[in-house]
Parts: sequence; structure tokens; C-alpha cells
Amino acid sequence: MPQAPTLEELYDQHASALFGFLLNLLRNESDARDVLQDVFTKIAQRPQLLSNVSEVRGFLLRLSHNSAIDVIRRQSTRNRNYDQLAQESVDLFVEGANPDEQVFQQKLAGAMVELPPDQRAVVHLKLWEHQTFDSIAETLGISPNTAASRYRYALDKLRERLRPIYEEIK
Amino acid sequence: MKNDDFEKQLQKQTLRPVPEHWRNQILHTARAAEVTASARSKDTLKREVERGWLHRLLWPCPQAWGALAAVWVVVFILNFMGAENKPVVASVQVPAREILVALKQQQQLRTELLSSSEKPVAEPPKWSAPSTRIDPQFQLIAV
Repeated sequence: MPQAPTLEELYDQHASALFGFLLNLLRNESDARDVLQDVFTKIAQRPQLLSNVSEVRGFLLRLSHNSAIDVIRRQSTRNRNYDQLAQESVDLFVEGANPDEQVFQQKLAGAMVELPPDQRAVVHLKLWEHQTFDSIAETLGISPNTAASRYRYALDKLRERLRPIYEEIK
Repeated sequence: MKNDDFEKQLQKQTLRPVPEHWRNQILHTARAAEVTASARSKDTLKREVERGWLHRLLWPCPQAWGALAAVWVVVFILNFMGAENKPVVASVQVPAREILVALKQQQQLRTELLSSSEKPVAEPPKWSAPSTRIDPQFQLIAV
């Protein structure tokens, strides 16, 4: 039986992926940090949570997603201007090597903001976590068909929005 | 614009990694929470042991404890109802002044009567008139 990973190992293997996902969902670095802290605190307090988990990354992403949804709900109740705050641009990506790529990144970050959080989550998991629709469905607690349709809608919107700049840099 | 190419272009964008200085802070806080949770679970375990001891002592027959509790409830209710039905002394009315005066007069009269019966006044000896009846023998002599 393989030994359970330590908290430090878990952090080193998954923290960046969780951070990227949370930043994309919450659009706020401070909130992303709070949720990341929350996830690792939960794991530290109850390591048995991981005992029967086959896909650790998926499980941690699910924990992160649930906590992020709680934050979004809480903030939208407390502050009706959360949507406006969420429109603020955050540095989602490592800065590109050339100016065209940097512009594309900015446009992409802006286009992602315009997606609803549930579509944004699916796009993120599909594009940057390379998950299948079945895995995405499990992570987000939705059906695979819903995951696929959300991805299709979201990709259409992104393509529409990014068409000019994409044609330029292609 | 092909879907695959567009998706590949999106996937090419590298996501920003988690800031390095967060690692120690997050892990330190998580470890501290782990220690707190561990201490709390020890306390919980101790309480459970104590509760188990009390449970064994006090809970051999739950029906008996239940019946005792029911009896206490009945006693309490009866006691409460009895207290409500008790006559209230303070509510008795004070006799009127005239009644008191009348009672006093009666008491005086009784005292006088009693005292008069205890000391009877000596009656003077009764004068008795000579009997008109004549002894038959005396009559014969007289004849």
C-alpha cells in the first residue's frame, strides 16, 4: 500500500493548479489565497479525506470549487457590486514572450471574465487541467452532457470575442 | 478558424503559478490548525470516555429512569395544583365592629352569669306556717 503524501508534497504537486483554477473563478488573488488556505487546512485537519481518493488532483479541485462557490455566494450577498469587482483584470497567465502574445493574453483574460463562473470552470478544467468531460462532471457535480454543452457555449463566446486578435497572431 | 487550432492556442497560455512565499504561510497555518484539531479531538475523546462511565453508571435501565422522571413530573403537577386550591388566610374578612361589640357584651354577660352562679346569695330561712293538719292521735285526745 503506497504511503499517503505529506501535506508539503500535496502542496508542491497541486497548489499551482488549484491557484490558477481559483484565480480564474474568483478573479481576486486574495480570495484565491483564502480558499487555497482553506483547502489545505481541511486536508491537514482531516487527512482521512484523501484515504479513498483515486484522483487526488480532481478531489482537490472539487474541494476548491465548492469553497470558491461559497465565497462567490457570500460576496454576492454582501456586496452587490461583486460582478463589477470580478470584471477587474487579474494576471491569469505568465507574461508572453512577444507583444502579440501579451495582447492575446489580455484579451483572453478579459473574455474569460465575461463568461459565467460555471462555464469558466468547465473551460479551465478542460483547457488547462486537460480533464475529460466525465472528470469535469465529477469535479463540478454536474452531468457530463452539461459539462460538454457549457464548454461548447463558452468556447463559441471566446472564439467570437478573440477572433480578430487570433487571426492576427495566427 | 478551426476549433482544434483555437483550443491549442488557448492551451498554450501558461497559467501563473502560485506565489512562492505563500507556501510557508499556508502550510504553517494548516499545521497549526491540524494541532488544534488534534487537541480538540483528544478532548472529545476524553469527554466521550467520561460520558461512557456516567452512561454505564446511570443508564442500566432507561425505562426505570424514565418512569422515575414521569413520577416526578406527576408529583410536581399535583403539588402545583394543590397549592392553587389552598384557602388563602389573608382573604378572610375581619369581623365588623358591631359584631365585636356584641361578642364582647355576650362575653361580659356570660362572665356575670358564671360569677353569680359560683357565689350564691344566702337565702333567709323560710318562715313556715303551722300546719293545719292535725295528728289523728292528738285529735282523739282532744275529743
